[in-house]
Amino acid sequence: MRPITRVISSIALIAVPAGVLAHGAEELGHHWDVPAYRAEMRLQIVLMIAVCLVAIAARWVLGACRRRRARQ
Amino acid sequence: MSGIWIIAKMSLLENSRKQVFHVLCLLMLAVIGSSTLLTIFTEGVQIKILKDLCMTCILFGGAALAIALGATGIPNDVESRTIHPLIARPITRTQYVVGKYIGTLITVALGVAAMTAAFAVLIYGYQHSFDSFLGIAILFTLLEVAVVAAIATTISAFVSPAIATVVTFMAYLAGTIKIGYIGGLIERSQSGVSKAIYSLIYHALPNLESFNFKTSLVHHDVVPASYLWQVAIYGLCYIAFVLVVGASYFSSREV
Amino acid sequence: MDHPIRTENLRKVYKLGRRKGTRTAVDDLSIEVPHGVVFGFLGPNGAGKTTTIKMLLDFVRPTSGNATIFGKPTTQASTRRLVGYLPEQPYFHKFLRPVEVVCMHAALAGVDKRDIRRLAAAALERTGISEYADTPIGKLSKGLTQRVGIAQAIVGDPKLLILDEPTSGLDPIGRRHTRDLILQLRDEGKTIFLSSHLLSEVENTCDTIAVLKRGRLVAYGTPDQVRGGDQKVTIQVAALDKQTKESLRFAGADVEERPTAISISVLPESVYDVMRVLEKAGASIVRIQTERESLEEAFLRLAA
Repeated sequence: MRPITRVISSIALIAVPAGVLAHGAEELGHHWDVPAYRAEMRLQIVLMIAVCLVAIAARWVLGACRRRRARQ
Repeated sequence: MSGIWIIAKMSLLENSRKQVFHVLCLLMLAVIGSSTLLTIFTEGVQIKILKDLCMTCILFGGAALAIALGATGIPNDVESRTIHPLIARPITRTQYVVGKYIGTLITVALGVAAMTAAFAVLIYGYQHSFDSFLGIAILFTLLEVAVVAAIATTISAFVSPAIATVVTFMAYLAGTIKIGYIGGLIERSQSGVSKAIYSLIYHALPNLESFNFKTSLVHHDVVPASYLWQVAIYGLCYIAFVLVVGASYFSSREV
Repeated sequence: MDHPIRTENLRKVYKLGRRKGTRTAVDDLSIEVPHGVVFGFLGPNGAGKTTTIKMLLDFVRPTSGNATIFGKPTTQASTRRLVGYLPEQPYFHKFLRPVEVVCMHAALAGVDKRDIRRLAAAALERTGISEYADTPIGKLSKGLTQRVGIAQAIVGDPKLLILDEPTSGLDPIGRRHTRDLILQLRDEGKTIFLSSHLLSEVENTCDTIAVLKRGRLVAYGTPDQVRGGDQKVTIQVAALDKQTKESLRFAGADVEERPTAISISVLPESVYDVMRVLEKAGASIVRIQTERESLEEAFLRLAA
């Protein structure tokens, strides 16, 4: 890609979401006072821990099955 | 651990030489510098606009760098086969992915630091003092950018650089308007299936607006310390989770 | 003592999509590489040599079977601490300099921080590219980049070296230098696993060879054992009449007309019969010599 094309693409890449985010930021100025923010963060942390635990358990179970099959 | 730092150092050297890094940094510095031309406003308003514009620039610039560098690191190594001599060494694929991420993050942090320095000089020129909240606002902007870089790195482990760039960019936009827009979509949706899909997207996307304390910096609003700690822990957990997903997939991927 | 490389029924099947089906790249490969030898791994293009190397280094996972390096599974990262690898046509980041590449690989190999610079310099010296140590890799020729690849493979004193086409891109002096280096490394007690198309190089360097064809092992042993083809005796005579040629063919000899002489090839056990026929015909013998099947001829016989 030519340098001038890259520069114009970079400006567009930054300018396009600028309108979206600037508008959004105006409406959500004090997000620390919005209970949905805290609740969502807590829920996501719990979900991430849950997914990790499920993945570890699944891996352990699959490994045990593989080891049993190898012994047989 | 040393394997991670060696890969990180190599990634930093590689990224800092890329044209996109220099172009984006210079572009943002130019925008920050040009914010001094807003002399049509009164000084008080001018300072507020300057802070708003500069913080937005730092955020966009940092996010653009994170996407541009994070989405291309791993696929470029795989495509150019420079990855082979590296993973033939006693390092795990996880160490490689984390090392690439840290290298990208350090490069982005350097860009953010340069923009912050320019911003700080401008603010001092106007106010003859620094805002006490500036450091915290910048730190959380960097944390937001770190989340974006983690998403870019993880997605790039799955798909080509072009697709990774687009998907990360869309995730970044969606993550910023998540609570208001996607939350509204969930409330308004009629069918159970669409509600489930929107909910899945809603809970998977990072809540990027949580990291934005621009208004606090501009209007000198007080943010509770407990909230800051919660956001910090949330950001670090999200980064760790996303990297674990990426590293797990890359560990079994054939190169 | 565990073999440097041991594979047991190693198999790799690639899925090509629903319509194209599958492709078996490596099929039931079982080899044991002895300690302290130069082991040649040969085969035509697409025979499965690179796929086998990729499985040894855990770039790809086998479909079935297993492989070990010094008794440890190849799937563990720590196993590769004892391995130095030279890829076919090594690629490094263009902005890096050879000394940086080799230092980085020394660090990844677990070399002590204090010894990295010294060992990197020694590796560059050994591969003959000390004077280019600070030239960005993007500015080096293919041959010099190949030497950087060899340097990063040997730094860190690995017990096993896996070299994929080590002389690719090198001029004759470079190839000779690399061959001598390989033999030196073997004499130091290292095991070298060498994949190459240059059969003359393999013939002069390897102690044991394995030949692959369409993913299967078709020959294994010393070069002499692989050549296998019987020794031949070649007798050159000035001229022969038609009847004598027929008698020779009847005795089991191959008669070939050449511009300056007639060449008669025969197995050692039939040479006396042939000599009797020639004596009876009063033929004038120009030369007698024994010949062995070359490795190239054996390779073509086994793998073509």
